[in-house]
Amino acid sequence: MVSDAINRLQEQVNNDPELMRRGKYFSTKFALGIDDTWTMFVIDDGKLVEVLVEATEGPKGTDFIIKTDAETWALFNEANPKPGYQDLTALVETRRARVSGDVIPWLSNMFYIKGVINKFVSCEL
Amino acid sequence: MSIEPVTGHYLALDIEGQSHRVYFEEAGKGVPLLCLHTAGADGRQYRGVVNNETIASNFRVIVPDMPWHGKSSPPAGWQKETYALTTEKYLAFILAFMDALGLDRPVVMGCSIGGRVVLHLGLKHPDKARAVIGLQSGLHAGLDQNKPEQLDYLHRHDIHGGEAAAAAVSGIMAPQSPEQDRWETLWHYANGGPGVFKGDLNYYFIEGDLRNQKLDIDQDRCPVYLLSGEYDYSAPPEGAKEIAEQLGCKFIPMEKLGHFPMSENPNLFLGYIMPVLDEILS
Repeated sequence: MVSDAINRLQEQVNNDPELMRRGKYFSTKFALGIDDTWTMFVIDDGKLVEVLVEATEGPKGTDFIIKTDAETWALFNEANPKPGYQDLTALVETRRARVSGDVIPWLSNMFYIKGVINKFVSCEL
Repeated sequence: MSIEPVTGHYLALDIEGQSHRVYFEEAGKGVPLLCLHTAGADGRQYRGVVNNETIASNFRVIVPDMPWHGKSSPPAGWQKETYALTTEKYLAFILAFMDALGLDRPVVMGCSIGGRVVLHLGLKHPDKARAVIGLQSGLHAGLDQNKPEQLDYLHRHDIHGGEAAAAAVSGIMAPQSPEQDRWETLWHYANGGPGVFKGDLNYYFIEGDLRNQKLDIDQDRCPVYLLSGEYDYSAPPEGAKEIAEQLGCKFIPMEKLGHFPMSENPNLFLGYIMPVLDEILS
């Protein structure tokens, strides 16, 4: 069930002391696009307050978006990723993923966002 | 409790007529081995090398913090200056440091910007080094990230520079590297002074680009060794391999290592570097 996975993701993010410390004063709304499937994350003072999967409005209303393709995402998700697929920054720097929009929230909170994305991967939404 | 066999010193160093207070660590006796850290970091990256008894039995390992980095101070008036590393400034520091310590043709090993500058050193001053070892060397860096404004986020009033620097390099290590060593490496980045990482990247991404220079290092005078971790997307192994093919020098790909081999997994790195040091000694 998608709703169970969303609940699990919110629980994992909101009960992680490291993420709560890093994100204490951080609020944003961003979207992850894998091919044409979008997941939107709403962050309020570090808490993941809302997750919208396959949002019909796509990336509208977000501060920034992270976009990649399904093949890249599958390789990124592997337990022992190949060189170039080991991290979100690796995907961006090798042009396998793109961050666009207002990139300042991404650049200034990269550890936090990577943490949320890693938990998103583990929840298999 | 254990005290490491490493001693630290401060050196009053004149670099091109400007006074600097430079910190360095050393251990061992023998052929001098000068170790140069990466951009925005400091000599703690070489903690595995400087603490290794086998290396210390044959080499005097010397690890400086570049001016502006680690425990080395910036020069007087730093508050009025925009720090930007250039090839000329980098070489001036290395040569001044070698002269001040009376190092006779050391082996010079550098990583990332250090892996680039050892090539500049071999090109311009081949008689100053017994050999150079480039870790994560490349003629240039990244894909097309050579616009200065793309680095501005590393020194802005509204972004914590240390957090941003650490986060920016956090994905460039091998996922297999031990968590403790990866995070220690990131701590060094988080410690950097304001604008220093960005200033180093001026050399790495822009001014120190070697693509337009003929790479004719005289290896009879200064042999070159290149080693590259496979998880480095900034200075990928293909780049170092290309240099090695041009130079006809030894190239050693390093599996399960990334951009900071000596720091992200010191024990694994020692297995790669010690045969190289043995070859240089022989």
